[in-house]
Amino acid sequence: MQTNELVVCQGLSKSFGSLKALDNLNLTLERGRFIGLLGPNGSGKSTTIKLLNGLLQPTAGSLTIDGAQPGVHTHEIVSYLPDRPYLNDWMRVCDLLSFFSDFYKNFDQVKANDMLKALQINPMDRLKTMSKGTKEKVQLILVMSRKAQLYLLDEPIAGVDPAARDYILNTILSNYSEDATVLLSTHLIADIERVLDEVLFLKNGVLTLHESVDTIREQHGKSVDMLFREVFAC
Amino acid sequence: MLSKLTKYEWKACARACLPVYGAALIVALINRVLSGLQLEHTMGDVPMMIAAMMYFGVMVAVFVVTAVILVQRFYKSLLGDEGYLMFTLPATVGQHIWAKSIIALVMCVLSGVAAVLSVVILAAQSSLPQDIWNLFTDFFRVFRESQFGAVNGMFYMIEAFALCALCGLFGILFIYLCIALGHMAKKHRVAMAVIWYFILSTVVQIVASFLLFSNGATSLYQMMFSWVEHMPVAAGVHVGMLVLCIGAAIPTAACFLGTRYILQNKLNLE
Repeated sequence: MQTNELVVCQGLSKSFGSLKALDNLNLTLERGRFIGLLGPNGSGKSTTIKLLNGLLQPTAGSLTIDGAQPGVHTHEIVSYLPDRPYLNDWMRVCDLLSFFSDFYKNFDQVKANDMLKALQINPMDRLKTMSKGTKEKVQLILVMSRKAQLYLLDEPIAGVDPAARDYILNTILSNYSEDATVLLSTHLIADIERVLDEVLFLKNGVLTLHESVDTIREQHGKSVDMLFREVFAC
Repeated sequence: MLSKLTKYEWKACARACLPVYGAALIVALINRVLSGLQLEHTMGDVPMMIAAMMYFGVMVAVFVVTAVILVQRFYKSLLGDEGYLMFTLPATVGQHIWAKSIIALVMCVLSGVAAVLSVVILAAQSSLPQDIWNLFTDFFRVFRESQFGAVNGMFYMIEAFALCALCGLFGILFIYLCIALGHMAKKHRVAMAVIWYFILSTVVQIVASFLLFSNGATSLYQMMFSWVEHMPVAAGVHVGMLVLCIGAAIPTAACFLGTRYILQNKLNLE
């Protein structure tokens, strides 16, 4: 039976040598939420997302997604956008569509083609001929064309121009189903604040805040962006 | 899922390796044609020397490219940035390792085939191609017409191919294990992989020498002959081949399991 809890982390920690990248994270994320994972550089955002994908192994603690540890089942239901180019440069966009279609049962090729057309990206182009921003758009299109239960988006709008940001955010918003959860890490809070349901503040690997955006506005009387600047002021 | 991974791996390797193998055949053909034109009277030995150097270069490239692709495909595709894609596919770590090792083995075989074919092209007007063909037909005829019969002969060949495949897989998985062990280091992971290669190579050589050639109860070589000496010759050869296959399968399995354990439990794509 499907519970409303999608992600559960208990005492999750990750160290790199003497550096504690994530310290005793206890967290439950529910289905159907749009969550901002916010924090300054080196606060543990990417580490958290990589742990959820099984790309890093925890030093301590445990995590489950849909009741399972990171593995074949979670990879089927999680759609992940890393913070770097991770696709083979020699491949054409149409090759990548076939690749995703081959491996992910929940990949919608028609939707992907529609988005490519809207962003005027030629499916016959090779990735190595594209600019950094266009590559990021292709990656985002591939990731958002999956009907996943959890979208883990690590800095999805950092490398694109402001004009494309709105399109990308709308793409994200209009392409995830209501019972799916989006966990999005970014520094560009003002751009995404309007779409967030909840926020997580990470500071030096420690979760300092997990609130709904409405609660923040009611209790603190300020926007998430302003609160972020206050909490993380240098 | 394994077939899909294998298909993708084939595409990635073939685009780098097949043009080089094709170039080896073309350069061999150029050499063959030039030697038939007898240009010595007009242009001296220069065209032949250039063609011969090209052939030497392309043959080196065949083996270097195959070896580099074997290492690079594992390292970059699983432990580099592409690992973010590969390790988030709904496939097991074991399937990833199998896909890579199967295609690496196929590429090693194809590089050997390309090398042999290029020699055949070079020697097209001599008796060498016929000699090679005769060697093959004689090899199969010996088994077919041997006192052990065609069935035994066929199984000897299957056992021989299995042994070659296992030895090839061992060589590939051994390199994968060294790369995976190197990946566990916090810094200088490539250098650590090379160091692990030298350490484990030395260990394998010492263990193999000890098991095969030492005197007394630990000598597998002596143990195997004591088993088979009272058997009929046909059966003894089968047992000997099977023991060799098992002997190759054990370290191959150890390398596979070691690599899988590290990638499953110690993976850290930083």
